[in-house]
Amino acid sequence: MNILPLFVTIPLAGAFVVSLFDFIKDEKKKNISTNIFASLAGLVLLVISIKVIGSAGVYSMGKWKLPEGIVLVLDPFSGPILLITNLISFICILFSFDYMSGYNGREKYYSLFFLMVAGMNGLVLTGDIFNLYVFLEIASVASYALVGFGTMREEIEATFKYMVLSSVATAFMLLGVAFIYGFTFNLNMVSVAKALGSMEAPVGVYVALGLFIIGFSIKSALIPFHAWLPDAHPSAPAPISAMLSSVVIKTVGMYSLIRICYVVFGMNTGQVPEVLRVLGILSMMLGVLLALGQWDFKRLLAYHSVSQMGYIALGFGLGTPLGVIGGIYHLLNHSVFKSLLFLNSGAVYYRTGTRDLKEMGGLGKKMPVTGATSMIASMSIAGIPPFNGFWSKLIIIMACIKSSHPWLAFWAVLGSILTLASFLKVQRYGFLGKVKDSLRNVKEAPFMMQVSMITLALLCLAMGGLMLPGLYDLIFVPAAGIILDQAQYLKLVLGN
Amino acid sequence: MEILKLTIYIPLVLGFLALFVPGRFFRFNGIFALISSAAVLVGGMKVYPSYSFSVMNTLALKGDILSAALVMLTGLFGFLVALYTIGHTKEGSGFFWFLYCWLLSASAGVFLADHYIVMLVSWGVTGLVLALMIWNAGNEEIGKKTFLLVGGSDALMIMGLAGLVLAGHGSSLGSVKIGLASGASWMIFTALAIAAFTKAGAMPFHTWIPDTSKLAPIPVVAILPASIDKLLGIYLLKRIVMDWFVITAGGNLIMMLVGAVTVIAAVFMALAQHNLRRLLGYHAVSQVGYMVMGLGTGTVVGIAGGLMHMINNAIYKQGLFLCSGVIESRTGTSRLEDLGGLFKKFPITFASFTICAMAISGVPPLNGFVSKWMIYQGIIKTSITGNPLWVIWLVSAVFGSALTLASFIKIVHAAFLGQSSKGGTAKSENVLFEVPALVILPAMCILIGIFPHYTVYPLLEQVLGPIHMNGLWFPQIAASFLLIGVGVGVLVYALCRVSGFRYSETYIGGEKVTPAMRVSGVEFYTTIENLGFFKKVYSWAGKGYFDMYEILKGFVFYWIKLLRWLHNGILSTYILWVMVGSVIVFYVFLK
Repeated sequence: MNILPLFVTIPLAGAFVVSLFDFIKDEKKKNISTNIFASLAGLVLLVISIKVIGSAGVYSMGKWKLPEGIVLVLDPFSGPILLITNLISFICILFSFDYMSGYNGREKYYSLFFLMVAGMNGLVLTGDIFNLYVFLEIASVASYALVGFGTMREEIEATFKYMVLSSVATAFMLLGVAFIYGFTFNLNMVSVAKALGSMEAPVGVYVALGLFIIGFSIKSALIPFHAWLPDAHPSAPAPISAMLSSVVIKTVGMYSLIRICYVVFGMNTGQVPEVLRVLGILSMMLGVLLALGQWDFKRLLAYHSVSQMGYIALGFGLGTPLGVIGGIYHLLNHSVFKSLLFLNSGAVYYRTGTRDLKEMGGLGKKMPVTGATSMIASMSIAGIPPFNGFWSKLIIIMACIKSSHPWLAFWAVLGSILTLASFLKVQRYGFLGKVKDSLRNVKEAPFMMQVSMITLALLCLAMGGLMLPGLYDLIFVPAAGIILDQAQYLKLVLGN
Repeated sequence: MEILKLTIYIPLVLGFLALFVPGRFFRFNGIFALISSAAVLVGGMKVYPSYSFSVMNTLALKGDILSAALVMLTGLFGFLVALYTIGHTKEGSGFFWFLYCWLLSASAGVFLADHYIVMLVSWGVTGLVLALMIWNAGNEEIGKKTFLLVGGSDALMIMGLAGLVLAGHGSSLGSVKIGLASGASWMIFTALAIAAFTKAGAMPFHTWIPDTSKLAPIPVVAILPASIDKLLGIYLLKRIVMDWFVITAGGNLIMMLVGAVTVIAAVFMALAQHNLRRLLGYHAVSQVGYMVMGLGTGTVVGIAGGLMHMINNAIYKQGLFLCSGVIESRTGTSRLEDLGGLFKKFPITFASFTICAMAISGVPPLNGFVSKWMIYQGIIKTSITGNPLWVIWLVSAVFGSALTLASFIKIVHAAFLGQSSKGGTAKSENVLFEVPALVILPAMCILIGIFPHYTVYPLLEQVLGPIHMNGLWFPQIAASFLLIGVGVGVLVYALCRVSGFRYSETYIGGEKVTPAMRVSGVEFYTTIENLGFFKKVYSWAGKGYFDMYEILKGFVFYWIKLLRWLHNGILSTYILWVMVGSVIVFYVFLK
């Protein structure tokens, strides 16, 4: 049995089933039941994601064959993204057990959560451009609701901005889809790739490409298309902030951009990488500068998401195997350390009720697990060896130099120094030093929150292991191959 | 494998175990550190004179005679500071000892690294350990500044080593040598040099050292900025100028300039300090200038002098900081005005400090003199190139040495001589924990100074080839004359029966003498602080005008202010950005 459809059907079914728990009247029983159900569903998704890593396959939905049918494609690029999406989802579910006790309607929360996961899994696996658009909308709409889940003024305002700017993005994408259909009369990725490869590309194709790049750049929060993110990500509940920053902007943004522009359009040289490099450097530098000026812990983290997306864009934008590997590796690493940082901020908020760094101080003494894991995550994002961020930044910097762009390497290094400055500020004001009088009675976060944070911290340490030749060759080399060599993708989907 | 276990794994494992030692057995942690240090020391001896180790068919570690010697020194310094620290340690110090052991392992990793990844990770861990040690002691602001400078330079090192490896063949740091011909090679050179300068503490990347010296715990200061950081930074600089790059005249000029400015500016800053530890911190910076100058001469004798000064400085600077630790732990202060007359209470500390102070000031026949003598010779030898700047470098070096002596006379006067200060305890030095370091380190200063041909020279000659010196210096004969001179002085003192003196109360025109009237050893030097030009410069320095950290902070926050103004929170503004960005993207695609 092909398990690819399960990545969509399990969360989709889970979203509907968990909403039925509303019938349980006892709030405590309802919470426990929804927690158990959600974590089991998340665990199953994680297990099957691990099972498929390193393998490839195609599933024709409804047994409709290409070019009419829609296929789900598992390739070396989608495999790691699928794994990280479901891994972070599972950990965020565990974190939500206690964190969401401050909110009502847990079954609605999990329902939206699973819709978001279904959308992400679907768009990662789909081999159809329109299908990708639909899954992207599912994930996006669920995330709008989740950002505003607290229904306070600030959250509603953030959701509104997020929704309006995302609508601009999806409108651009839909227009891009229309253009593509107009030229190729097909929306299947392989068919479109073949059609574009066999024709002298008309101007309209470049218009479509521009529309996709703008749309996905908004979703990826690359500067100057980023403005929705610093409001949306801090306003959401912490596990959702973690999901948005660590996987949603990657899947609906950067992954989709690379899938469409590099794999389908085959444009891994020329203007597309150039634009990605420029957007990458802008995001990397301006994002981190904006983060440095923040005192709101989560808002600071949100700006760092913009900055780190810049690194990922830079890696992909180099268009070389090493650069693309750096991009994928940093994407995976960023998912882990950024979700950990958001969970840290959530743990702090859960116990202290504040996100303002000026009101914190000495929390490492009162919350040792949160403090220690936040230190690990901070060092990871700053690229300090031997934590995971160091390895991917090293590859990106090497790729810049190898592709004769030493100045891009310099900007990457400068961004890294400013990132370090920013996280030293977080540590200095949040976790180190004397405990403030108002925080004397603060306790460590509840057990399941600690488990989530420790798991991610261990991953920050362990993911350097992906540099070992066996794993590097298994995960990154084939992924870079499929991104940079369209023929490999066509061969995988169509067979010989 | 056995050797690797000794040098790298044993400190790692014991450091990890230190985290789990129950509170009341906290001194066991110190024993772990002693064993780790001994392991590194013995490991260094075992890998001497050459060594290589492969992981997964890739050469990971490769030691030559210099790196083996530096591993040994790391073990020795680690042992002495660990012993000192055990006497001062408290319950709950497991994390400190964990960091301490890992520092030893990482330092050995840097000295033995052949694979660039091993180098980067080991180097990065030494910086992280420093910051964590400072934070662990509750100095969060200093830790932040230190780690931003040190960690930031580590980021530059990543770029430098990445570029270096790509320019060479494979991952080995031993297989690359590039010329400074292109902009890219200059960029790589600069990135690596900044990493070395920051770690060692050369200007303008030095500003973490005086602050750390003043506020971090003495064991942290003694083991890192005073000794191991110097070895790490200058060892990296040696690899840059000798192993990885073909240095041009321009490269040497930059190093000479950095060295000369560091020597003079830091020693002037030291002169004006009123805090013993901060003063020593500025000297830790100033001495780096000599090492950088030595390596910048590009001559065998100059480079040998620079490397020898690296070793010498680590020895006496560690001795000086440990002495200051003894003083501070008994008097509760390191403010020079509050100290005085301590030589009677702490004779061993006084003797140890005085010898180390003379060594750092370049007084013959101590080790500091020998290495400075070689650096002077190296500078003079650069005159054959016809570049007249050698005079400036030489004057800076000699003048710096004189001012170093002046500032150490200030400390010895203020802390050990003069009128006694009140307060504190008179508990003498601890024989088991403190005295070994206070004896061994000055003894090394004397031995290396008198017998350089049997101690450091053979090592340097194996690294650099024969060292030819023009000047006349026979250390053993000179030391003999000095000893005879001192002996004659003692004889005269004994024969003249100078012991027939009496103590009397201070008399000031019949006024009652209050503690406020006490004359401190620092008074004389306030003249310099109040001189017109110096007063202005010291005032600017106090405001952070010369602090790279503060300058960059001001620059960065200017941009942040501008960017925050652009983020006004209004949706229509953000949509306008999207539209402007879209127009640019379309222009790129449709042009």
